[in-house]
Amino acid sequence: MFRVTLLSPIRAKRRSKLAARERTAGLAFIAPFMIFFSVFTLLPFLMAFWLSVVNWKPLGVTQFVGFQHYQTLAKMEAFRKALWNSFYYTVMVVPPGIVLSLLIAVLIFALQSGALRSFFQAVFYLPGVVSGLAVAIIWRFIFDYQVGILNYIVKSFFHAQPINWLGDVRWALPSLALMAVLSGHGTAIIIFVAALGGIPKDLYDAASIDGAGFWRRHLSVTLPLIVPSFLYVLVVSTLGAMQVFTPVYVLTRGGPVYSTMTAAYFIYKRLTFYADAGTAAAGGLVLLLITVGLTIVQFRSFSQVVEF
Amino acid sequence: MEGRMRMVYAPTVRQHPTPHLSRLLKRYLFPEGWGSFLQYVAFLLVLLLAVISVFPLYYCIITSLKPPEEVATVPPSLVLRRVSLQSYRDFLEGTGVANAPVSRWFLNSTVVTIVNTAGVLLINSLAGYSFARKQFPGKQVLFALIISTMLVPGWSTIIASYALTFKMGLHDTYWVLILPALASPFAVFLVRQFMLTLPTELFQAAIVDGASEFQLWSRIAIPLCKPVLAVLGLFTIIGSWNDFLWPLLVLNKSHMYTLPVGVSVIMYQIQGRGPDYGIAMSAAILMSIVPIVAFLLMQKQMVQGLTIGALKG
Repeated sequence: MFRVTLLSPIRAKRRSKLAARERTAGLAFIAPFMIFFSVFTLLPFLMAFWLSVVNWKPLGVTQFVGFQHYQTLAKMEAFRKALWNSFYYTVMVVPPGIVLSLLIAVLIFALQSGALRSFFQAVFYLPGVVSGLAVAIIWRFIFDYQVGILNYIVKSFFHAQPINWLGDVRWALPSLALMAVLSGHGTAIIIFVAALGGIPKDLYDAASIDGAGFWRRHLSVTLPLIVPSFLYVLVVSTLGAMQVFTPVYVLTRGGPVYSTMTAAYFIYKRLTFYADAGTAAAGGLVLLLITVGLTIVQFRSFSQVVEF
Repeated sequence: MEGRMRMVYAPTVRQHPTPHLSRLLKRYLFPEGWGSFLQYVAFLLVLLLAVISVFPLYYCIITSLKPPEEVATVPPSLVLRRVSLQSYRDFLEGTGVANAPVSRWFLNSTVVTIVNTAGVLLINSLAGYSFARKQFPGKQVLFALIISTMLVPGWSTIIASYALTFKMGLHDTYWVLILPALASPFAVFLVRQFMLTLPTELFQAAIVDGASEFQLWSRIAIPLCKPVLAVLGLFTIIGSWNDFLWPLLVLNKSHMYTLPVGVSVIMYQIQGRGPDYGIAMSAAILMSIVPIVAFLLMQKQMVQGLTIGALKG
């Protein structure tokens, strides 16, 4: 109000004209995005709820069935097993993966040569640009019972019986987790290295003057300051691990005996093998509920540790 | 400076009559102190972990280049004695696999990747520009909505996307791979973060010079955003080329498969008669050439691009 009275009527008019032009342009520029976003992201999100309460037929009549699909899911052992396996897999993959990538990031950051730093960042990122499918195919060979290199190591270095990595109920899921932990932390490493680089050196000097030793300095300075990056990596990798699909598809197909049946593979199988979009959609929404819950818990627990 | 200070005060420091072994070691091996020793340790550890991390890729490359009879040997050999392209030939000719038009799969993947990348760059640079530099009603709410969809697991909506695109009659066409990929929340976010940093004066000067809104975008914002657009383009090329799950669901005709879907079907077929790892490894390498080259071309920019989203978000 105050500013308007200071301007001459002509300038005020030009100003509002400019604002109107900007508004039109702003809306026009997001229009193409909003069209595709609404049709292919928002609409499927709403449709998922609808699909989970109807009996959807690709060709034919669709009828309302209420919460029947959810009841079916609750009774299915495969689904309960799938949720548990996804969670167990996430626990086996995410914490060790984060510790490993943090360790690598600290080591890379400790290197004084800038050229070496970027070289190693690139080397660790390289396996990450290869598709998950290619990585799984490679590990199919590494895990092979007879000619795989892993069993060769087990036999000749540990003098133990070869392990049926992918065919043994006890080993199949941990094998998939092992593969995930050992392949591809490139993004997390790069994010952590950048976060470490963003910490002002004065803070360490100040801590040293206050008499903080090596561990104390890292506990009180490094850790709190990388919490935002840590949280980002934690949330994103949890989301990814809860939805693991490609390794299961290539290496085990959910078996043996549901031991690697994960939520994503369950949904895939309901849709493609049983042409059952209803329980598949309902399963997807249950997965959504769980991952949103996990994300909230992660945000809550870390915002208590450190105030942003 | 520090060294000279130490020399000045050295006489006052109590001298050890017989130097301790560790002191001797330290003096001769690491004249610059324990700091340089830690440098060696850090370097060796990183090197070891890096070797572990790239080993599967290395093993895959050498296996794919071995003659078929040397592929699955016990003990496994970690070096390449003879180079043979037989496995690649077998894969490309679809040997022993029914209905495998491999060159068609390459074509499909290439077409989809090119169109996707061009479309993603255009649509998201427009939207990112608007969210960064324009004022319009509902902007904050819309942006928050777009960002929050990044936290929704893909598997919770993929069935609905499947049903929707089926009803639209898009299955087994290029469109089913292109249209749903165009609007990318990640891309909008990336472009917006970069455009927020551009100086306002440039835009004001252009307005005074009579530039239209479209020219503000095409003549000022886009040229200045070339670095981030290059990074986004590479991410899209890699992501689109590697995409597996969605094409697997919506493509059923083998001549419409993209390369990853075709490869997964071949893997499944040859599994029945005992896996042929030579063919499998050459397929994995052929699938990976495009993303690896894309990464090597611009690895420095991509490493920087990765941190834009994480640190400011």
